[in-house]
Amino acid sequence: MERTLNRLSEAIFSVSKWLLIFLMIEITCVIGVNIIGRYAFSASLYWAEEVTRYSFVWATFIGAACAYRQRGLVSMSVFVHMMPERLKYHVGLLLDAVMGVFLFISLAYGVKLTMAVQAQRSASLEISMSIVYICIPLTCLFMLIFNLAQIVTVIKHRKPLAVWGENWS
Amino acid sequence: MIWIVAIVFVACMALGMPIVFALGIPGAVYILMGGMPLTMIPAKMFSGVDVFVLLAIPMFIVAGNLMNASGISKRLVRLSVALVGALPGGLAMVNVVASMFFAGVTGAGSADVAAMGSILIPAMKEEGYEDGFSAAITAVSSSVGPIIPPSILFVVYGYVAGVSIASLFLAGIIPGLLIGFSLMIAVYFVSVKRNYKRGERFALKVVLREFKSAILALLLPIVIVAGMGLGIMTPTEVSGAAVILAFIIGKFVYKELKWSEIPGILVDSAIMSGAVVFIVATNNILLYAVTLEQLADTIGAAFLAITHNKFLILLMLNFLLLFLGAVIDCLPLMIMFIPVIKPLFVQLGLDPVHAGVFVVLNMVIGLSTPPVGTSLFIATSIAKTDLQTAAKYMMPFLAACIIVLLLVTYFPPLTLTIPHLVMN
Repeated sequence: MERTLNRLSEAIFSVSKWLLIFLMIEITCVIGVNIIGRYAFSASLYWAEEVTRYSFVWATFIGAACAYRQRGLVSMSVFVHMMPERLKYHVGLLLDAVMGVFLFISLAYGVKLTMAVQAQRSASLEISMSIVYICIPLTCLFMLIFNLAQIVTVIKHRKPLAVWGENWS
Repeated sequence: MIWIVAIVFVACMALGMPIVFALGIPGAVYILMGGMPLTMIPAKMFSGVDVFVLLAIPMFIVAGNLMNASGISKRLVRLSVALVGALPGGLAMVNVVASMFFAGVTGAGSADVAAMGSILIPAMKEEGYEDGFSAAITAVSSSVGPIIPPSILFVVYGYVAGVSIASLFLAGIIPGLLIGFSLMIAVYFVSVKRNYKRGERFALKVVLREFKSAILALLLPIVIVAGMGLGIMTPTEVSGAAVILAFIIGKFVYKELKWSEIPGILVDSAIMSGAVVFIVATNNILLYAVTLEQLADTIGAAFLAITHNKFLILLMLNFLLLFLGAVIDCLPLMIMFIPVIKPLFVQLGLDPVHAGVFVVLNMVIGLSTPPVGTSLFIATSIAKTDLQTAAKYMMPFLAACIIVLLLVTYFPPLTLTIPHLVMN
């Protein structure tokens, strides 16, 4: 169980990394071409703003999911450091479970929302808005898998993982 | 109902849940209890980040990391050594001045600590500075980073408060320089008292040589400020241009940037940015509750019930922000705090740009105060010392920062002069 989940997480993580590289390069190039186009040829790409904005939304959700896996999301850790190890273990599991429920709701209703906006078209490219919105359920699913993998690891080794946002490695 | 939401929020935060979820979950509870459609949860997340100006955040992070890998930080340190190395406490002075230069090229304070710390802390150790002192000055000097433009904190404030980001960038110039100079004065007195070493004698020839080597890095902030101040480019375009310039300088001029490093830099920057911007997304769920319940008015009224004196309210706000900044990281703090406090600024008749600068100043001071100052954390881990030791050396520097903070709070021309001159 732990092995399968961790392997799945690893696979998702490496695909996400490639997506992030692609999105960052694409955003930079579109902004660059647009600036040059406007000043050198006084012509700007009418779709530049829309493409970069939606790419940014995608990059944000995927980046956040990766940060989830690395436990890089910041938290207020003052009180956690005061807790004894046993309490830290139980509180950690409780939080993981609550976050799991939230992620599951966001996933389920994210799917519903994605299907609902299928007929909506974006303003300049006129693509289906589903293509944009689908990043929400997709990354919620990623995070749910990371969440499960972390819960299983914690229970198996009977030890809390790194405090959120303090994984400085 | 709002009480249950508040209790859930406080419990999640206190137990150490990641702030993104500690904001999203109470928001979801509100929607659930109000019997509103649950599709609002993903919809609110989406609309929170579907914003063009926020794109400047990942771009400025990428630009900063690219420059770091291009050896720009090394060049800026060498230039600073040539400029101020001969003063008492030479390397501590260098730490402040290099941070001020570096602030002009990056938008994130923590990049500054990591870059300066890894070069200067070992060097300071070698010259006999105490570890705690080195960590303290490295952490506190990085607080100029988010004040001197470009700055991610100003991008976020501008978005959350609906203020021109270009004005905020321009308004940050004088307060940023003031923090830098007041820190140098503090370093001077501490160093004279403790008899810290001076570096090599000042030589104009060396300064000119190092200036030439770092000139491209110094041009970048000028391009950014001019591009935005004169309205040639939007903040987002400037951030994209910064990435392209950093790449060209690193790859083709300094030739220190390797192709193999670039994918790693892009991934790390995107993850760092995702972790921050996702907070904007989930906070947007909670903001729905905050707006419907008119929480901002309640809080504003609570302040005004204590006193109507603007001077006192500003002092209370400063104390509150310094306290919150010491326990919560500054970007999340700003994202959740500003929408709630903004109406109070309006009622007090504060200029939103001026308010932005002193709010950001408060928060960056919090970055180098224990218990959760991120900069202090990074600096102490590089110096291999602990928070308590570093905190002892921090006092004179914090005092210097707080004096500047009070000046900026009560003397608006310090912030507003440059934006007024340039924008008109």
